[in-house]
Amino acid sequence: MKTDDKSRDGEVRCLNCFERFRPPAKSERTLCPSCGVEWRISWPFPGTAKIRGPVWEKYPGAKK
Amino acid sequence: MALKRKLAVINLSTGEIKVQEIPRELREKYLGGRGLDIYLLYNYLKPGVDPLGPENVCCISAGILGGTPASASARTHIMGKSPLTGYLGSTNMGGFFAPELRYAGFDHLVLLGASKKPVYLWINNGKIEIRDGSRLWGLDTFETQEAIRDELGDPEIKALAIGPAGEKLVRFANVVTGHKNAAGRTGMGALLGSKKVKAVAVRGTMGIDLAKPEEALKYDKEMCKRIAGTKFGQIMQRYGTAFIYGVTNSTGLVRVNNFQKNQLTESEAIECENMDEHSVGTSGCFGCQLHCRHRYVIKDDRWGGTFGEGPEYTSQGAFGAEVGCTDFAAILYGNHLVNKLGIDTLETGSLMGWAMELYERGIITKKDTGGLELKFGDADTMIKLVQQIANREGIGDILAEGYNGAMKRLPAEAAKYCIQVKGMSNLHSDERPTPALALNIATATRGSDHLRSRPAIDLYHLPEPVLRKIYNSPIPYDGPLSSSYTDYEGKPWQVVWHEMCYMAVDCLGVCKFHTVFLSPTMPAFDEFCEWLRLIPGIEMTPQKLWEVAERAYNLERLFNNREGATRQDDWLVDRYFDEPTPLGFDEVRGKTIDRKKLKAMIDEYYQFHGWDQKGRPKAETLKRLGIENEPSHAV
Repeated sequence: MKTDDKSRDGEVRCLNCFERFRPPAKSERTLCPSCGVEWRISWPFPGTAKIRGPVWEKYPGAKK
Repeated sequence: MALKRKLAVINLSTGEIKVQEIPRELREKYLGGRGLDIYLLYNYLKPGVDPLGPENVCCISAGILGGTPASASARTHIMGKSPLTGYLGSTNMGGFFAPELRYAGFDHLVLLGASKKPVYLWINNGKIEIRDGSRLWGLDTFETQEAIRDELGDPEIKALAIGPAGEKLVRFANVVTGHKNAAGRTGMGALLGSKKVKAVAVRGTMGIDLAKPEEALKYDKEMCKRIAGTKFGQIMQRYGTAFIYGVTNSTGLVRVNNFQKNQLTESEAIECENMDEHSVGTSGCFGCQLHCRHRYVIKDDRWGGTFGEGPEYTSQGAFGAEVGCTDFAAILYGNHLVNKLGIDTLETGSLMGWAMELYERGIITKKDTGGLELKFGDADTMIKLVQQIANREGIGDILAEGYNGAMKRLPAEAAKYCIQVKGMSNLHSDERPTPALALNIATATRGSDHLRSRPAIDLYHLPEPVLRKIYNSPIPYDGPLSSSYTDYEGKPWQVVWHEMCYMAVDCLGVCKFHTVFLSPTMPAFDEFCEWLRLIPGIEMTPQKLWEVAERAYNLERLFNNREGATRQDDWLVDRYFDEPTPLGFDEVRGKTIDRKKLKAMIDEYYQFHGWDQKGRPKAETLKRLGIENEPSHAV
């Protein structure tokens, strides 16, 4: 199993459809190109993206 | 050699201390840590005793790799009969205590009887002393550790301590070392409190010889690079386990307002990124390259200047989701308080959420709470409740009894709303959409628990070939495996596999974050065996290591059966089956656990273990594992 794969640096994995994608550098919000869910993004390290959470008002089937 | 560490049996009633070698045969059968502890507990404890009486037994140990170059070999394990559940009490923490215990010459301590007055144990380079602890009684866990260092004049002393909650026999009192490392679950702090043991202090300079030192260091370097190089490792170094919240809450797998919702919407304020405002850096346990815990100073008008460490994901749930609170400073303060006062963060959060729902439903009223309005989301009330529980004041005195004890004093209808298994509350996870995780909490030996068998990577949607590679070793498995966390098929084997993996690391004394818990690429049985070959010099195949884990797991099962546990204890509360999840992605919304399917999963799980349909290990299973004659009293 690969443990040193650098080709995925900067990618995140959509928590809804599980597709991997690369948010624009330093972006704070991004859409999953596969399922269209909008995510808030944080950057724990330069070049390392992390899904912070959904954009709640656009959450699929959102209800409070 | 790494194996030349001893067992000390300390009788607190008589003051007698017996130091013994640990026979090689026992080492090979149970290794150390949790594995050897269950052997000792099963042998020393008489069935049916009062968990808070002097007949209970407390085992404290290091793993067989503790304090060596093996990655994160820091864990201390504590075991006894649980004052919370009446079944297996078992808990585990990081920090620096276990390595120091080994440097002081010991791997396992067995505490028998009870002292009449407060004491603490002082263990220093092969010597053990029972010292007067009267001056420490009443101090919190932080003060206790400092007072011992002052009294003995050595700032390098490592100590584990109970707080006021342990003294007051709160049934989920924890044991703390440092500011954050807590052996939290099943009330081992109450067990020590019942024995009047305020603390155990250790200091040692006895070296541990490694079987193959050069190879061990080289291998450790490889492991460090591998573990720290994963994306999981990198994120852990940055945020600690608090990063998990972003994943689980986004999906809809978090228990909110006790069990009424499965997602805390618009909870940006408690996401891990908020740590940046309060953090003053990170630190780690002995031998760990991840340094996953933040050291923080709260920046806030109410609790400003308070120092703490963490919070773990568990505290985010305990003081956040479960009680509907999005006040991050309150989470940090709550986290600080439970460590200082000595109560389990998970149990505390769950019971507070339960009490708030009971109050909301009118099952308890202001009359029961001493005037406190137990409203979800109210940070001040939450902090007040933490203090009341730890000090057994007001409604806190009822909650301090845990689910089983509280139900003796609450209306019968309250039982329906408590999320627990075997009397122990759950992590703030909502398992209704995830059958594998539901099976895990239903069957874990110490009660509803995420650290003893949770296939957490089931949430990652891993491709089947990857799952096959993990779960087909070291024991061949050609049954079904599914990438979907909502499936029921194939999950029993995953739960069994993780039970064995986690038991193995608990015998080694290695942190679970350094195995296949939250990352599929972390070390497992093959790597553990290499460590065993290089460090204590035990040649063991991965299959043999699995057998060690299986042996210890079956003894835990026998222990619970001996204390009266039956198949009925491997079950969930009705809400899992009757109340669908209201929120989350399509995949998780509207989900319940199917009773028939859970029953079938449990049947299959028992079959994998070689247990009968009542959940009792079969005679041939015990014989295969060489435990048909337990208790054998070999030490």
